[in-house]
Parts: sequence; structure tokens; C-alpha cells
Amino acid sequence: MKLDKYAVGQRYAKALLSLAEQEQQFESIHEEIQALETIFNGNPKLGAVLTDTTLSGLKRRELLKKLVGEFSTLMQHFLSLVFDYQRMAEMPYIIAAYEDLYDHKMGIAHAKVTSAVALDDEQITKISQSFAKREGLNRVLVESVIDPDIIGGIVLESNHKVIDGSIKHGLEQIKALLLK
Amino acid sequence: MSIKTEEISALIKQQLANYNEDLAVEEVGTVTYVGDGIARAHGLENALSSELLEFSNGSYGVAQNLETNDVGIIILGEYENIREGDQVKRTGRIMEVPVGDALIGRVVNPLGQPVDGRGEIKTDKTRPIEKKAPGVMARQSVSEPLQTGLKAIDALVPIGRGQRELIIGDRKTGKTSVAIDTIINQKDQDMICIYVAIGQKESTVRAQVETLRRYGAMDYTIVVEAGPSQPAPLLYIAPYAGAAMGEEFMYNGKHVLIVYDDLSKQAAAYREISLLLRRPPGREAYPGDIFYLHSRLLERAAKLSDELGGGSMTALPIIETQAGDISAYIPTNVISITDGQIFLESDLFYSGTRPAIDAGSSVSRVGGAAQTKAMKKVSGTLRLDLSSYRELEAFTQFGSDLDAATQAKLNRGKRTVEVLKQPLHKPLPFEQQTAILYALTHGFIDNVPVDDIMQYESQLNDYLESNAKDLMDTIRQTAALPDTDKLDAAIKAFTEGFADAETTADNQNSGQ
Repeated sequence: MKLDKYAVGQRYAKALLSLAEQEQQFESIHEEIQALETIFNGNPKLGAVLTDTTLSGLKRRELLKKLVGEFSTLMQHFLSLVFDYQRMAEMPYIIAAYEDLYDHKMGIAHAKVTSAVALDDEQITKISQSFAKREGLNRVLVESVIDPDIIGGIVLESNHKVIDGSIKHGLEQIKALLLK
Repeated sequence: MSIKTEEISALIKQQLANYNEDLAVEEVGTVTYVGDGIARAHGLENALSSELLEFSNGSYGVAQNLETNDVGIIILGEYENIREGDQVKRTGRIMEVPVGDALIGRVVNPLGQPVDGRGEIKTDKTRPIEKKAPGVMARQSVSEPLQTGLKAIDALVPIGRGQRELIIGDRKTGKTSVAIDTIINQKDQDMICIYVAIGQKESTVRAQVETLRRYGAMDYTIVVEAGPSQPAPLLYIAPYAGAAMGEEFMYNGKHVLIVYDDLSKQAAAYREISLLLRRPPGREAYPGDIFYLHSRLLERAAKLSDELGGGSMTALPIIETQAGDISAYIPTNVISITDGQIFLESDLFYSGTRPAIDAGSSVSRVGGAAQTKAMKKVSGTLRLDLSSYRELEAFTQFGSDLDAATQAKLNRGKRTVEVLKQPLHKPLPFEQQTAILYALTHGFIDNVPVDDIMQYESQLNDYLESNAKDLMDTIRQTAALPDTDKLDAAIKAFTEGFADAETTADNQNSGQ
């Protein structure tokens, strides 16, 4: 059976992570992955071009050489391998899976905090600290979103979990209670 | 009537006093695909199999496929306004339906919501729709009869309380009528009936409900309805919802009769869901667990042990065959699950034998133990009479001379077929069934013209009720045959009177 793109991402990312750990280049590889992510975000069609069989192999390899030029040896090997197996199109999924694995290992979580008014840095730090404590994490990276619709309070979303302390949610609960 | 605003605000105030704001911590997923009554959602990593999920538009769904990256969900209710990217919440519950006395006399959908326009159902009890069937120690063998009121069934394929008897036949052979007549006959029998209509035309269901109401059967009946215009998930859960409603009564020591009309449509609905969820198709494109779909449903019918109150749930599943093909996938499955089957034949139906029960291939594997003594005695030779008649009938088509014994057999057979006919919605109490079958098997009807048998039967019942009430009462109360000499004498007296009356009537007719 053909593997789906998520499963592909998982496998390559896992292999790269354990190799990076072994070679003790854990942090540097992560930085390089982030750099790679910027490149791919900037050129969304890059992956497709690198696996496009209508282009000759030689041309594609030239392109790859330019791409891998500044990376470490380990990363260069990794990219060549992914290229050889024609998995460049799945690169964004590999990157996403790698970041997930890295975050999981380091106890980092990303959270989206929605509030009605802008929050100051101190408030954000407080929120991230208390959420980190609750979930047993080392660090929580908060992305702040402003949405006047929720009226007041905050809504925190992280890793498919929603903690809803907004006025809007409270009003909905009261509505349900009164309609009963 | 005037409503005081102060009163309302006082009420609201009171309700608000009980309100305590708590932080809602929810696990959510994102819809990545929606259509055809199913959805896929990314996330929901901790969702359990068949957990109830809530969409942001208020519809509910049930988690069906738990895969590496997403969850396959069947949607119960509106799905047109669910969009890709919407949130799906876990609820931590599994699906439940309201149960209890308040449902009796109502028509509800598979979610337990009323569809008869007669207001809210006031009950606070619910039951999960999927529940494990009672185990070995919780059961006892079937011992009490369930009277269907149909001579052909009560005599040849008796049904006991707690049994599962399949009704099978082609379209338009009277399957539903057998079930409806059985429900009508449960009046004053301390039975609660549940009629689950799966994929039946809404107009037909309406007509059935009206019939039940006309015969006063809605006083003890719940109708669960999932029409053909509803999405497949509702058709799929309908029988489970009905079973959950029945179990509530069964575990409270009551007797329940549940009719699933019909399981072939439920199987088709489940096939649709399974294919959309990309489960591998098997024979006739049904998924691998199609047998389990029906076996776990029908296992829930049971006769409970006395420690558990001795309640029972009798199931009458209905299966529609295509051109009499009982070796198709679903019919063979359900035949092997149930404790016997009632075969309805279109040939018999069109030749006027109604109910069109094929006595040869209809069986009841456990009902014999529940048959009353009286019925056992009178129906003993019936099956044999019928089968030898069918055999001889084929020979005598050529119309050659017959010896007296063969002629007698043919005569008896013709009359047996005639006696077993019964008009629609006219179930007979068991003592009247016993009387007419007694008259048949003891040769009293052998000289009555075949065309007059219907009339003979109804007049015999009237005669016995007025002239030999004590005999009928004995059958009713003891469920055994009374003094046979007295019964013989009574029937003989009536038969002679009937013959005389016929002759005079004939003479009058010819004289005119």
C-alpha cells in the first residue's frame, strides 16, 4: 500500500532526529531545518519541481546542489537521500513532523491565545508559564490573536486542546441553562 | 393568562444562582472532509471508538474509524452546514437515547426525538444505544408463549417470549402485516411493543401508525422511524436505538416485543457508510463486520433469569429477499443468527393463501417449549397433513382416479390450507384458534364445503362463546384442552346445525 504523506514525513523526520542526536548536532540540525522551512515557505513549488519527472535529472540535480550548498554535511546527505527517493514533494511534511518531534522531545508547545484586547508581554508570560505548569512542559511559545467577538476573557488553543474562558462561551452556557 | 415579568426574572435569577462559571477544557479536531453524511477530522487523538462528537453547528457525530492521522465520523443530523476547517469537540460520552414510559404511544426518530408533533418527551432516563447483550448466567430458556394471533404461526411455528424469529420473504408478501397483526394481538397481554421502521416509505409508516392507533395498539407501542430520506447513519443506528428502549423495560421485568422492519435496508445503509469510510468491501460489497452488525443486535433479545426480574425481549427481524433468493448474503446471515424463520412466499400470496406462510420451510427452533398444551395437541398432525397434501397435490393435477385414502388426505389438506387463511388485522385469541384447529384435526370439517369454511369458523366461535362458554373458559385459563367428550359434542351439534342451515340457504337461493 502506498504510504500517505503524513506517514512519510514521520519516518524521515524520525530517522533524521535520531541521527542528529547520535552525531550530537541536535540544535544545529534544528536550526538548519528551520532555515529549510523558510526556503520551502518562500517557494511552495520547490518540492514539486524537484520531483518533476518532465525535467531532466541533471537539471534537477543542479538545482539541488544550489539548495544544499550551505548546509552541514549531515544535512546535505539527508537532502540528497530525500531527493534520490523522490520524496522532495513531501519535504514540508517531513519538516512539520521534525518540528513536532523536536518540540515533543524538548517539552515545547505552541499555543494560540485569543483575547478581545491586546495583551502585554507580562500577561503573555504569565499565561504561558501557567499553561506550561499545568501541562508539565518546559516552554510554551505563545502566539497572540485579537478577536473582539469573544467579548472578554481569553481562549487558549494548543495541540488540539481548547481552554475556553471567554465571556462569549459563558454567555452560551447561560443560554443553554436557561433554555433547559 | 398573564405572565408576570417579576416571576420570570425571579426564575431566571434562581437559575443563574446555580450557574457556576467553569473553564471549559475541550479536546478538538479540525474537519478535513465532509460529505455524504460522513466527515473526517484531523486531531482528536484521544477520541474513543464510537464516542459522541459535537460539531460547531450543533450536530452530533459518532467516531467510527480511528486512523493514524484522522478520525472517520458518521454525522447524525444536519451536515450541509458543516465546513472544512470547522471544529469537532469530544464529549467523552457514547451515544444515548431517552428511554422510559414517556415514550409509549409516541413516534420518535432514532435519536429519541419526537416526530409526531405531540410535544416534548418528558423523561430523564437514557440508555446507551450500544450495549453488550445479557450473558449466559443472565438468561433462561424460553418458556412463555407469545401469541401472534395468527393460526398459521401459533400452530406451526410457535414463538416464545425472548425468542428471535425471522420474518423473511419477497417484497409484497405481507411481512409487515404479520408483524403489525402480532403487535395488535398483544393488547392486554402485558406487552410493550416497539416497531422500528428502517427505510420504509414515510407514507407507509404513517398508514401503519394509523392502523395501530385504530386498533388501540398505540397505547402500548413505540414507533422508531428512520425514513429513506434520512442520512444513512440514522438508518444504521435505528435498530440499536429501538433495542435500547426495549432493554429499559426488559431489565425492569416487563415483556417487550420488538420488530425490526427491515434489516436488509439497515445492512444497505451500513454498507454505504462503510464504503464512504473506505473500509474494505467484501461479499456483495458489504464490509467484513456485517455479520456482527446483526448478531450483536439480535443477541440483545433475551429471556432474563428470575434473579434479574424475568423480563423478556422478543425480536421479530424482517428481511426482504430478491426473487426468493434466500442464499444471498444478508438472508443467510440472519437465518443463522435467529431461532427460526417464517417464510412468506409470493406464489402462495397471489393464490390467495394469506398469510402466505410456507409451512414446509418455516421453523421455530425454540418456540415449541413455549407452546400451550392445548395448541400442541391440536397442531400435532397439522404439519404432516400439509406436507402430504402438497406432495399429493402435484400428482393429482393430472386428474386420475384416486383411492379413498388419498382422496381423504386431499380433502383434509384443502381444508387445512383454508382454515389457516386469515384476514388482515383480525388476530384470533388462542382459545378460538384451538377450537377451530380441534374441529379440523378431528374431522368435523371434512364434510363442510371448502368455500364455506371461513363462515363456519366465525360462526363456530360465536356458537362456542354463547353455548359452551365453560369449555372456552377452561382453555383460556388452563391453556389445556377441556373434557374432549363435551367439546366433541358441542362442535358436533354446531356442525350439524351449520350443514342444515347451508342446505336451506342453498335451496332458497336456487328457488329464487
